[in-house]
Amino acid sequence: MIALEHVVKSYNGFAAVNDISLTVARGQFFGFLGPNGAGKTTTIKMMTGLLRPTSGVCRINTIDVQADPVGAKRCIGYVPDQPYLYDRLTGREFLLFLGGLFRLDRALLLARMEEYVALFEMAAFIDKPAEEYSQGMRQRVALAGSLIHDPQVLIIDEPLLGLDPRSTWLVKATLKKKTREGLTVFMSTHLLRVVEELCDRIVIVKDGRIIYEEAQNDSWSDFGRLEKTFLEVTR
Amino acid sequence: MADVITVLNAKAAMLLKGVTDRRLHALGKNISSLVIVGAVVLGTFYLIRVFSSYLLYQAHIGLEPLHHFVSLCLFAFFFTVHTAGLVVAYATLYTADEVSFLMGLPIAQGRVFRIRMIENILASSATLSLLGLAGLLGYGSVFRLGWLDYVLTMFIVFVPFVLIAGILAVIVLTILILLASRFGTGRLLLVVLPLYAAGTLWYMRATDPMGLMRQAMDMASGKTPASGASALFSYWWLPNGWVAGFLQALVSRETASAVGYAGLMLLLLAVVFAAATALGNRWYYRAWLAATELRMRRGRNRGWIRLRWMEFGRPWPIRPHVEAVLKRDFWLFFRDPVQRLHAVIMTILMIAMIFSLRTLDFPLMKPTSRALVFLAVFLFQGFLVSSLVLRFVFPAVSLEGRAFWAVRSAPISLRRLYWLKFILSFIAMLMPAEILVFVSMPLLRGPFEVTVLAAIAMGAAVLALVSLNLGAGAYFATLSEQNPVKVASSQGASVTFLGSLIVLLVLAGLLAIPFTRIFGAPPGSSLSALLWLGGGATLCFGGGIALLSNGLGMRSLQRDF
Repeated sequence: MIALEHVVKSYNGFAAVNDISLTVARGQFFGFLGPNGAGKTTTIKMMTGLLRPTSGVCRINTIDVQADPVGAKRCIGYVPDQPYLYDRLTGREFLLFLGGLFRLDRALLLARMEEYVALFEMAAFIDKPAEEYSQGMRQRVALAGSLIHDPQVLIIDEPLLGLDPRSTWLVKATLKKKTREGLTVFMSTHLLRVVEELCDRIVIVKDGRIIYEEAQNDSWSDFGRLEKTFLEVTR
Repeated sequence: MADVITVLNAKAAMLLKGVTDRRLHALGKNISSLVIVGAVVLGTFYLIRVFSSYLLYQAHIGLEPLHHFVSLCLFAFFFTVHTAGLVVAYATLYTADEVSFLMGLPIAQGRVFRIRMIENILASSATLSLLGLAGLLGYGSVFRLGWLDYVLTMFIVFVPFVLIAGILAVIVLTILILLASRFGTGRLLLVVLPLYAAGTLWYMRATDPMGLMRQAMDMASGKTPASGASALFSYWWLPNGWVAGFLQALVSRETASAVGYAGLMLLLLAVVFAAATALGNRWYYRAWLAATELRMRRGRNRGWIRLRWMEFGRPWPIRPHVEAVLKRDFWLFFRDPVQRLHAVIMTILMIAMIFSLRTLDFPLMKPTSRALVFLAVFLFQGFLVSSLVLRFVFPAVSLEGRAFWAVRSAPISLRRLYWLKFILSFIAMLMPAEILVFVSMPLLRGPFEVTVLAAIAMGAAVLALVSLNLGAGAYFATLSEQNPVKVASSQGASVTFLGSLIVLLVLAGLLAIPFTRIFGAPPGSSLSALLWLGGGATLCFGGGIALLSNGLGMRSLQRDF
């Protein structure tokens, strides 16, 4: 479902992402880990067409993101690490705007919007201007926006940043349910407990390269095992 | 003084960093800035030189009327610097993140106020001051002024003149914010805007620039004797009058008079600076808090206009992604009070321009002079349109803002997004531009063919200006800046505006021969060849600029986010 082939992104001679290759199968919950500045967000931005790779290919559902960006983006839902919204639109208007960009049928769009407003408990603020939102509110609206067109692949960068415990629980439950229904999730996060709880497979990157890879196994249930591994390999 | 040095140091460091940046993008920006600014500065120099020389040696209007005219031009200059300062100051002194940061540090509010005030004057008047200097050099070359004359004029008259306009802007804004927090923004604007308009109108009526122009033209054509203009009433009690008075005294070698005007200017500068310092020390923090509260209150109250047919939930019979972008742009524009206010001001300016043209009357002039008048009117209209385009079209890509991720990660082609912005901007700018032409040209009692040709040329101008501003706006885009006013007054915007002026001058040049021939043609002669030639040339030029600019814009839009 997701395939990165020798992807490189260089800025003025510095390789932020240095020859990353990986594949993520359909329905897999994939954890993309690494210390600050490892190249996680850069990789994600290349997968969503926000950055052009210096070399290599990113494929979503076998579609090359650079060759057919519109086709690839139809399959993707994306939540950035800083989900800025339009300050002078309400959350509801933002969701309707996104639905329009994805050319959703009006009735289906309205139905899905109501579903996500209820699911993420946004009724109290969804009709207020986004300039009044907290980080958690923005995060919930952006997450609803990323799911509203029922994507095949969800790419999320730090999805639980700034969420209160109840919202965190809601998001985790939704992601689990969606993965069971066949959604492929590519998640970058620093929250190792969340990774242990949700992910089927992880990759750890450092200095733009993959340095560790592991599929979920029984040892993940050992308290602090993943944290210890992370600290060791990223030292 | 220490504050001034702090700001100048920081600005010099930034300038040095910018100039020595060897990256291709920065290099291109610097070289294009240099070429375009250089061309406009040279153009201003020659324009002022030729115009001053014409009035003095061909129209023989005499020294005092010439300086009366200089005084009028300086009034417009002062008003422009003051208004630009007023608009930019809200962002520089009250909404910028740096101010919030500085307010959290143990720095006296008066010092923060002074630093930001100086930054504001530098930001809002640097380009205008450069043009003013070019104008001064052009004027001085007619009178063969020496280098000491230039230095003196620059530092004891012109720079204080610009500073007074800028400082007054900051003082007025601070007082307005304090009053708005007490009486409400809407009510205050209802009082202040008519006051400003009435003051300007009164000054224009009292100084009668049209009368002065008419007399100069009459003298040039030999209709009235050359001494006639000396009876014109002069206003020497405003700073623009002092600069003009100083210049007149300088060229007449009346040292005592020049010292008097310079003294007045420096005294006024000291007074307004002292007033600004006192205001900053006593009221800046309160005004800053009031501005923050006003913004928060605006958020809670919203005051958003409601149009049911524009709501996102109401389907339109067009493609959903096009509908989504159109509605988003519409609401983001009309929910921004600054955008609304500026749209109203620009509309008022356009109406004022049309009304002012009604007073023009040159029935007995030679074809060349009539063509010149019509070209000047066309240029003024073009100038107004290019200001509109700079203010509303240049920031169009930057205003995608930090939420651009939502569009960039959605299945919409960036090429289509760009064309959508272009078509919207083109239609929105073409309508007022053509209204200007079709209302003003008949008011000047020009032949029908001139109106048609001016309409075609204005269409070409709008095509070129919208493309240039949208393309350059994408090239210089700053997605992190949410204030359209700051985007429209950035370095990139200044360069683009100067580029727009060059486009207008070339278009006026292309119209010069057809206009002169039309005015000189005997009644009943066929003018269709002139229309084809003039219209074709302007459309080809406009189309060429559009092709280049839109190509640049589309490539820029696809840059990394």
